[in-house]
Amino acid sequence: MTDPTLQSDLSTLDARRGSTRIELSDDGLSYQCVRTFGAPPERVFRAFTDPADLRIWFPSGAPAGSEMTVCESDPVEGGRYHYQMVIPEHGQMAWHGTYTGVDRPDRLDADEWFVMGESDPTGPPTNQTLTFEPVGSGFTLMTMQVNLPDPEDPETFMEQSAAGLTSSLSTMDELVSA
Amino acid sequence: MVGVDLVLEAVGEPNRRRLLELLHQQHESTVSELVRASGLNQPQVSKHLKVLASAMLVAVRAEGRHRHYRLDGAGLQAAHDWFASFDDVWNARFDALDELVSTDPESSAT
Repeated sequence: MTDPTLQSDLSTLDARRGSTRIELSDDGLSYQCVRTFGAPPERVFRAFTDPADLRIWFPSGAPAGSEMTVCESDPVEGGRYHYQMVIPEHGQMAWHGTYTGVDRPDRLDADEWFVMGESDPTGPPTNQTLTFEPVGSGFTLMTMQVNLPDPEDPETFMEQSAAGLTSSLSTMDELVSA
Repeated sequence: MVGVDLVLEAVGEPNRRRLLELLHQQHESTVSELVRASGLNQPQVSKHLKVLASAMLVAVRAEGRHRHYRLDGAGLQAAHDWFASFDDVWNARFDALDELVSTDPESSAT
């Protein structure tokens, strides 16, 4: 695993642009993603919250033929977001979220429920915090911290883990079996 | 290759993760050693070990009438690969995001 500590020189920053590492905590109940982007925080914040932007990048990595069928986002405190993908051979999956804190362009907090199939969200949400820190000449260091609910049972744990961890859960089978 | 569902279900239970941690620390343990170290009772430990073994997370070595348990790389590799696959997905998504924001003429980094 890479060291998430930021080095201040630009060559390191630039190297980080090309890689995202997920660091899972020892208890398996949280994970962190760190990544730099080549634009200032305001622009990156917008990419994470603006439906037109989300439609461009969110489906990336999903299998060919996947379609983003719903993309709504109201980035104000108490506002909701709802993304839905339909993935060939796997069907529908949806991300339902409530923004619990919006501090543009520095920080975004949300509770998120991930749903496979067409059911409504139930159970405890994952808690997500995104921070956007200006670095270098117009870069942004993003840290995504996701806390999973304490698992009452393995099924819940798996579903919640998958919820936070993947843009398209369905790709997991292909990826690991490839 | 062991099914990832099996592995994740096996590690989705806190006591089974505790047993894996104990095995990681001690290299090899008998059931009674795991009972002492974990605070679980013997039937519970045996039941959990059976689940862990079916997911290829633990391997067993018989020596006389003792059975010695240790971590098995196969299940761990499957879990590792599974989590690594998310790195790929996140990379693809964040590459696309980076492409979007860094080619924006008004705001790209220098």
